[in-house]
Amino acid sequence: MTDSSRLQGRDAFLTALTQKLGRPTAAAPTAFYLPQQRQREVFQEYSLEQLKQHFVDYSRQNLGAKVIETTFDTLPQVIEQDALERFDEDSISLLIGTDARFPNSGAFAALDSRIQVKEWQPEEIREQQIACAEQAQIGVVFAECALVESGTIMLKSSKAQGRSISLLPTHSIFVIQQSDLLPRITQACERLHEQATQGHRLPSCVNFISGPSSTADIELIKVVGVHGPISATYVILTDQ
Amino acid sequence: MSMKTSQQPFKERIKVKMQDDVMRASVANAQERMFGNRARAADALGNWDDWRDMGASIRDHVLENLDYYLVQLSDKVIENGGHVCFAKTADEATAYIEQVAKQKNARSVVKSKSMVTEEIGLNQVLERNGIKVVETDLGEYILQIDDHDAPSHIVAPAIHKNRRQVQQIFADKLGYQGSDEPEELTRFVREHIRQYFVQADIGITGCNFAIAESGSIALITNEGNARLSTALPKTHIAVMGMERLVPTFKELDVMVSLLCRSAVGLPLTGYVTVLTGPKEADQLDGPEEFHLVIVDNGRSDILASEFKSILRCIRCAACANTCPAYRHIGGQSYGSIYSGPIGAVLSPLLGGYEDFQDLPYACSLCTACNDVCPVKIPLADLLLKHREVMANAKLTPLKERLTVGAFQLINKHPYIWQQSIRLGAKAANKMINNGDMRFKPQAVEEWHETRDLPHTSHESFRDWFAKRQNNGGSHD
Repeated sequence: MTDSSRLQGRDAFLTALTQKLGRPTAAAPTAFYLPQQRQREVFQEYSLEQLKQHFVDYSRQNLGAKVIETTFDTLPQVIEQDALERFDEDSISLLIGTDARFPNSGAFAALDSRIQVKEWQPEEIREQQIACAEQAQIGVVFAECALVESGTIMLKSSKAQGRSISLLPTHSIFVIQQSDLLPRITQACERLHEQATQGHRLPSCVNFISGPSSTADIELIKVVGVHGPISATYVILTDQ
Repeated sequence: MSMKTSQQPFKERIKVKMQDDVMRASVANAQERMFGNRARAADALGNWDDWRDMGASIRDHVLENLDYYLVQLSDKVIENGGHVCFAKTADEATAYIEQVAKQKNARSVVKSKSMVTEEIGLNQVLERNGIKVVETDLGEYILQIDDHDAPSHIVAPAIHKNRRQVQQIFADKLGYQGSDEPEELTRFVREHIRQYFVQADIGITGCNFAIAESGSIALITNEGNARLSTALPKTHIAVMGMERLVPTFKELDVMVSLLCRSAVGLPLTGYVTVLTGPKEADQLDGPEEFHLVIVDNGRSDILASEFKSILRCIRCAACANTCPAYRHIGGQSYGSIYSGPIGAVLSPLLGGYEDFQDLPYACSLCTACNDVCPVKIPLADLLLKHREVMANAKLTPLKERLTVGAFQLINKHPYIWQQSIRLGAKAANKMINNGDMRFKPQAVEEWHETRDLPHTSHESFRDWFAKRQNNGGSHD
C-alpha cells in the first residue's frame, strides 16, 4: 500500500479511466514487442576507433564543442590549458566535482596561480555551494558515459557531483573515458532499464547533455549559450 | 492563458492575420527551416518509416494499458518519496498546485515550457495569489512580457515575430538598449532571468514522457531552463497530460529519438533530463519536494472515442511545419494554444465544438501531415471525422445542411438528377458571364471571392455525349 497522504485522487480517476477503456479493472498488459529493432542497428559495425572519430567530428562540427584527446596523467594540464585559453582574467574560478575517477585533488592544486580551484562540498550549506557554482567560470565533471551518435555526455547526479557544476558556470569541461563511448541513447537507456528492473531507485537527476545550451526561438536562428553554459570542452581519456 | 486564445470569430481572425506581412514571412521562413531540418535528420537515421511504426506501436500499447501504467508510475513516484495528484479536470490540477504553493509560502515561481500548464490556465491561478510567475523558455518569455501575446507554434511559440519586434519588446518592457542580433538579445535574457532562477521557491515543468518502471519524468529541452527550474528551487512540480508516458526506458529511447528529430531535426536536443523523485538526502542541489500532477481534462473521453489515435501525439509540431494552411494563416489564427493540424484535431476535443468548430475546416485535406507524423496519426482523416461528427450532431450551419440534404435527395434519384443537371447547365450558362455571376448561391459565394467561375456549356455532359454518339462519334 502507498502512503495516501502523498497520493491524491487516484481511485476515482482510475475507475473512470478503466471504464472508458471498456474493462472492469486494470489488468497487467500482455508482453510488448516492438515491430522492429532499428535502434540496435545504428553504428553496429563501427570499431571503437570509428565510434570515437564520429563522436569527435559530430561534437566539433554540429555542437561547437572543443574536443581534446589526452591521457589520465596529463588531465590536470589539459584542463589548465583549456581554462587559460578560454578566459584571460587574472583570477579564474574553477569548480570541480569530487568524483573518485578524477585524479586526487593534489594534482589540481599545482595548476597556474590564476586558476582558483574549488571542489564541490556536499557537506556545506546548499545556498553557499550554489552561489559558488554561480560565481565559477568553469565547471568540471566526470561523465558516466558518452553517446556517439549525438555527441552527448551522460551525467548522474551524486553526492560528489552536484547538478549545479555542469549548469551554472559559463564554461563546462566534461571528462570522458574512451571505454565509456556508447553508440547511442539506446545503450544508455538499456543500463537505466536494467537498474530499474533490479528495483534500484535511479539517481534523482540523469542528464544527457549535447554541447552548450542553445536556442532558436528568435527567427529560428541558432544561438549558442542561453540559460545553461555558453561553451563546452570534451576531454577524452584515451588510456581509460 | 487557457486553451482559447481569442474571442474573435475564426474568419475575422484569419482576415486580420493574413494582412500581417511580418508574421507571414516569419512563419514561412520558420516552416521551411524546420521542415528541412526534420527531413535531413530522418534521412540521416535511415529506415524512418520503421521508426515511425515503432513509435506508433509504443503509443498504442500505452494508450491501451494506460490505467495499468498510471498505477505503476504513481506507485514508483511515491516509493521514491514524491507526491502524486491525479486531476480529473483543469480546476482540480490548478487547485492542487495552488495549495502546494500556499503551503510553501511561495512568492515566485519559475516555469519551463509546458503546453499542459497553458491548457489548464495555471499562470492566472498562481498570479491571482500574488505569486510572480516567470516563463523561462526564451520564446515563452518574449510572449509573456509582450502583454501575454498568444503562442503561434507548439515548439517555437514566438516564431511569428522577427528580431526587430523582439528588440522593441525588450526595449519597451525591460529597458534593453542593444542591437537586434539574436545572440545579443538572447544573452540579455540570460543575464536578466538568472536572478529569478536563484530566488524562485518553486520550479514548474511539463513532462515530455514519464517512465512508469522507475517513476521518472523526462524533459527534452535546449536552453537549460528546465535544468535550472529543477535544480535550484526547493520544490519541483511536474504537470503531465495523462497519456504522456512510456512503460520502460527501452521505449523512451525510441520516443526520444523520434521526438528530437521531428521537432528540431537533431538526434538529441541539448538536454534530455531524466528526473526521479526529490533529491537524495546526501545531495545538495535539486528539489527537496517533488510533485507529479497527472491531468485528464477530457483525455479519457477521447480515449473512448473514434479520435483515440490523437492521443499518440508527442507534441513535435512536424504536422504544423508541413501544413499549407498553417503556413498562410499562422498559429495564432487557430485561436488555441494548440495550432496546426494537431491543434485543429485536439482543440475541439479538449475545448469543445462551440469554441473550436471552425478548426477542422482550416485544412485542405492534402494529407501532408499524415506523412510526417512520427507516430503515424491520421490527422487529415481525423479532421474529416470532425466534420462528419459535427454534421451528424447538426452543428454545421442550417443552410449547409439544407444544401447537402437537397444534394442527397437529387443524387438518390436518377430522374431528378438528370433534370436538375439539365436545368443547372442552362441556368449556369445564362447567369455566368466572364467568370462572374450576379446572383450567387451561398455554396458558391465564398469560393468565388478569390476565383472566377468556370465557363459552362448550356447542356449536361450526358446530353452532349448522347448527341455525339448519335452523330457517329464525330468530334463536334
